[in-house]
Amino acid sequence: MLRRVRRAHPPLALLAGGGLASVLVLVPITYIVVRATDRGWQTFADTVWRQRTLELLVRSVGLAVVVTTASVVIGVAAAWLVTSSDLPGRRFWRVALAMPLALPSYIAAWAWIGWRPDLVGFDGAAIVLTSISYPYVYLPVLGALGRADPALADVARSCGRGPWWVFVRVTLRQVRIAAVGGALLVMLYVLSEFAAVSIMRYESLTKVIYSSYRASFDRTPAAALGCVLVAATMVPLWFAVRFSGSGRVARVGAGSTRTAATVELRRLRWPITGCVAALLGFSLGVPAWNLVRWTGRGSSTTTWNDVAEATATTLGLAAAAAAAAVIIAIPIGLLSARYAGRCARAVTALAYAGHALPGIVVALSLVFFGIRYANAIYQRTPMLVGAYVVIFLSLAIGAIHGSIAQAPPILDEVARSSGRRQVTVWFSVTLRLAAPGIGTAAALVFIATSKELPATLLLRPIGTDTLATQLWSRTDAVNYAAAAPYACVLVLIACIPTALLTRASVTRS
Amino acid sequence: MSDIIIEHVSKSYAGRPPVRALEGVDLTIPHGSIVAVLGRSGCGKTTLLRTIAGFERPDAGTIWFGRDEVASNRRMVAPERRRVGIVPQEGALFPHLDVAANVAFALRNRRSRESRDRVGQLLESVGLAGHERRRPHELSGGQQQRVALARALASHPAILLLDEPFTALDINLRAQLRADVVAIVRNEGATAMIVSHDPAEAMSMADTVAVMRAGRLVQTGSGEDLYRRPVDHETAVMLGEVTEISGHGNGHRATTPLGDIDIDVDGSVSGPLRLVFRPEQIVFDEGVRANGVITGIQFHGSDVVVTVRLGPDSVRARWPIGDGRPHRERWLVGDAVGLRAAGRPVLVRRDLRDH
Repeated sequence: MLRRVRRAHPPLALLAGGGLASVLVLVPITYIVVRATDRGWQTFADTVWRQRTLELLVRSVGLAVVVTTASVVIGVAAAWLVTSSDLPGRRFWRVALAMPLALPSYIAAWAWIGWRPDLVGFDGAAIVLTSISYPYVYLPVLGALGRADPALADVARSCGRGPWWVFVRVTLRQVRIAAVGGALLVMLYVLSEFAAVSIMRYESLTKVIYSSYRASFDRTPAAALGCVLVAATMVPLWFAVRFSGSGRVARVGAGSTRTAATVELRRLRWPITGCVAALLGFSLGVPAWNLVRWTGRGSSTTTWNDVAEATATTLGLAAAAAAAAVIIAIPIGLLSARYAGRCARAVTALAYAGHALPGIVVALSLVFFGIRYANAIYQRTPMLVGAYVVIFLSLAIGAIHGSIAQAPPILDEVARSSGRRQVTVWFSVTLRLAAPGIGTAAALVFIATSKELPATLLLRPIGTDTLATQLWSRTDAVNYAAAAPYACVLVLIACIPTALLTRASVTRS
Repeated sequence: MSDIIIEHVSKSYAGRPPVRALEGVDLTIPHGSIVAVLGRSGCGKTTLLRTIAGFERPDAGTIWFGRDEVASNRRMVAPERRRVGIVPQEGALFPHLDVAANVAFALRNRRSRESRDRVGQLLESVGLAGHERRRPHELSGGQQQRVALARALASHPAILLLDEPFTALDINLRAQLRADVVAIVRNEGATAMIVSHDPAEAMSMADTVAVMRAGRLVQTGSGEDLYRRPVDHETAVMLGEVTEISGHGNGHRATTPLGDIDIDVDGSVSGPLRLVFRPEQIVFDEGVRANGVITGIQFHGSDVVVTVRLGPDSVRARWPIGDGRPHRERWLVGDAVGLRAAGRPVLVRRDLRDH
């Protein structure tokens, strides 16, 4: 049946919502450039074309490439093992392997450096970041393997191809887009990562941007380096768009899905199980063990009042950011799910661009913007919440768009024919059906905000401390034991919703 | 009376080239009648339905609900203000509401006694009394469509629009539901338009059938008229199976392997013709001298479809086997049989291209 392309004009309310979100995202992107070139292009060029800048860029990109490569290998292998092999305890591993996603990078870094202080520098940063970012590849590949058509592999086998050939030519091809998407996330994440590299004392662009902002009154270098960082994040984005390709991997034609036959690991079964256990030990075991160890030592010196206060602040900010992001994401979700067109695509693309922007750059440009134009809210809660929304809006849009798209549009039409106005229909039917997605969106933003560090450091109201900033200031002072209670509470806050979300996504796939 | 009148309605969608979904459609749906729009996928019938409901704006033309102009180049009444009841293809109950709340969705004062009475009465008439508290996923496909019908009828709509409402159901359920829907709609005195690609559905349910092709209405009339007097070959095929016999025109008659046959044509004809019949018009007659040879027999339950080589043609004939005798005792492949044509051909083709 020929499906009609919807050419209906989106209602003004939605366009206004989308416009507001675009402005919110556009301000930091443009303002960082404005601020960097404030003193003329010459000063800008001088900062950018220094050898030091190139060195920093190489260090940041080098780390990103190593971590991304390792994450892709680990993520794809792990996803394949838990879906397609006879690995013992696959159900357990399937959920457990995704859990490092809940771990804030600086807690992992804190745990590693507390255990092995000699790991300072590139090695430590690479190990820590790989141990927590491989799930960005693992989860989408897991989903792709679940959706892949097992008949293709069966046909290839029956045409006389060996299992290794099938893995390389059929299975890998089916998960390619998912893996590239995950790799992109890892790359962007590592490039913009600030906390773990700082704790690991690895001089990267982000760390130097922060210290140059803190160290001097001349903030042009910080802004200029911010531009370099943004430019660096554009490269992997371009590659991902260019090479993810449009090759068809979905099932073509009808037919019932079957579960794929599992590949027998035979002699390698137990050694591989050992490797998977070791992976989990590195990514979850080390932080967990350190959490317990340092908490034991640190509890005597802890001011529990401060912990309680920081917890309350964190929860409040995270809730505010989640609410704001959801409210802004709903019109964009409606726009792109129901009125797909240029306008909706542009707004969504902008929101994703906001996610690709390093948190430190967003924070920096909001600082400049706030000092000059928005003094009333500079270093106040609304501006901090605004920064969170810019950085995490795409998380909310993704979840909300998906769930609205799943609610059949025919229900909207039936409801309208029943005499209800469009806006009433959105509230009484569309959003009601999309409620699970809206919940997921709120949870995702909540978790991300409660862990966020660089924007919080730069934009928090004076005297306000979150769990993350408290922990950071203590690790900065090499006071690992005192950081432990904050780390414990943060992990607890982030773990519970993450476990729920992971379970939901794993069951779905 | 509030007839639904569609005048010269056109609509196209942007694209390369633009898709012309409706081209100058004229259709009147008299108050209290059921009209079926019959056409293949992509012929524009769903666009017509959506234009009446108010989800699409016509590029040109006017739609009247009685005296109210609901769509024209001056006015576009919003869907929620047209009083239209929609029964979509499938799965269109609100999953978060129970059956009673679904039916009451279009009612103004949902808690009032009148509303509750109306819901009860409608559920009674669709045969689902006592299912008020059920959730949509607890109902079978047929029951879901009954609830959707009750929901669409609840607020006494000016027109009820049914968009292929039975295609998702299995074949046994379909016939029963068709008859029930007609009875319920008549009982409510509602005006209805049903969109379908199934000729049996259109002909059995509607007072008037309108055949649509490439955005145009090619023929409108009663189901029987269209079946017996289609305007062209495509319409003939759209409404049911056909079979062709070649003949030679001779004034108002044609000479064929089945003898001389009267034909309806404008003026007199001569030269080669093809006579289009319905398979049930090719009758087996023991009194006729053998003129064909059976080349294939398909058993269809109440009848058999027999392929017969008849001179230069291979024709398909549908013969009833109502007397209970196994068909093999009467006809076998290779038998010579005597055939005759019952009634006039539904169409005479003078363009002798193969189709």
